[in-house]
Amino acid sequence: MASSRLPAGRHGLPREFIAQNQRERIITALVDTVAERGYNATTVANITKAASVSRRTFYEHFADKEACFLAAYEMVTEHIAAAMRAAAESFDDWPEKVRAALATMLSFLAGEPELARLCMIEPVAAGGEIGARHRASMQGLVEILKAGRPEHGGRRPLPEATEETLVGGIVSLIVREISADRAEQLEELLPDLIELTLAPYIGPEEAERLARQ
Amino acid sequence: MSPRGTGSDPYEEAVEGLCDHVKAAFDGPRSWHDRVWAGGLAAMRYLREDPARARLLVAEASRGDLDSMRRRDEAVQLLADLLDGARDEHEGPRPLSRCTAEIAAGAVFSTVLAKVASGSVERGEDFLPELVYMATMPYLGARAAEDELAVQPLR
Repeated sequence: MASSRLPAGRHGLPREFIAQNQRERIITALVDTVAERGYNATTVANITKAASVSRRTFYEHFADKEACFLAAYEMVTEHIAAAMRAAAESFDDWPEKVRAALATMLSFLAGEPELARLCMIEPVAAGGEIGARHRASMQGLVEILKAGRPEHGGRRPLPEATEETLVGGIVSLIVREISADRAEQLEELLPDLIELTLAPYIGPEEAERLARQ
Repeated sequence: MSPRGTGSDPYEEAVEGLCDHVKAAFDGPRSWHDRVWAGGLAAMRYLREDPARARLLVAEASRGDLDSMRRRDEAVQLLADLLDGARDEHEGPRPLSRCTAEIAAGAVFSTVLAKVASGSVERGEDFLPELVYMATMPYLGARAAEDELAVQPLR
């Protein structure tokens, strides 16, 4: 994320624009600093220095480092969620929707390794409110999968925790790849993720066919 | 692959103990399917016999720093090794990959952590059929694995 500093001196820009610009600059600085140091080792001083703003300006926009991180986290995750929704809406059938949504998520994370780390690894390290927000965000994936329950034609109902378990497996593998600096290769996981995720709902043959599309 | 600790770190000892229990139960001349059940039961018993140790495992695995993630990954890889042993027995339309075992292992591991974190480990055997279903589903097929859901594990 490139930082965009305002020119020094009297620039004559409206106060709302300056405030918005400063806020975005601080968020950009947080993303860069967390990518370099990790969330726990990042300080407000690191962020203000990278953003070229005063501590007073920082606290005009955010209550603390956690609030700043949450603003960045929500900006990124809302972008991903919107892209996943848009991709899914291109299809009528649930399995295709899941495939499109997962492909979109992997594509974004693969193209933005720093943001991938920010939204998949740092929240676990941060814990607290950030960790809770992350778990709530992952619940979005759970809901996408739950919509496939009517597709299930098995002899027994699917276990209640099927979706949480599947999402746990998906996230576990993605986190592993990101933490091993292999975020750029995340899209290669798509066929295996699709097959394992869809098989409980639509059976292995159809899941395999969709995975290889 | 078993995480080997120095003997002085309670977390290393807990992970090592869990892995050793699961691996000992899993090893043997029985079918792969039966060994998955044996390994699962051993894990549940190990976690239940010392709740503080179980909570330590969850807290450390959830810490999120590089060292914690490396150690968590070692445990997932051990589980994936055990599951991956059934790859050759799989008779599906295409060969399975190592990735399949890693997703299934990650799914099982994250679910166990969530159950421990929520205090549900006391009823570990109750959710074991769901874990076995998830672990065996890629290898046995989704329909066949459903039979696991009807199993009542011995306590």
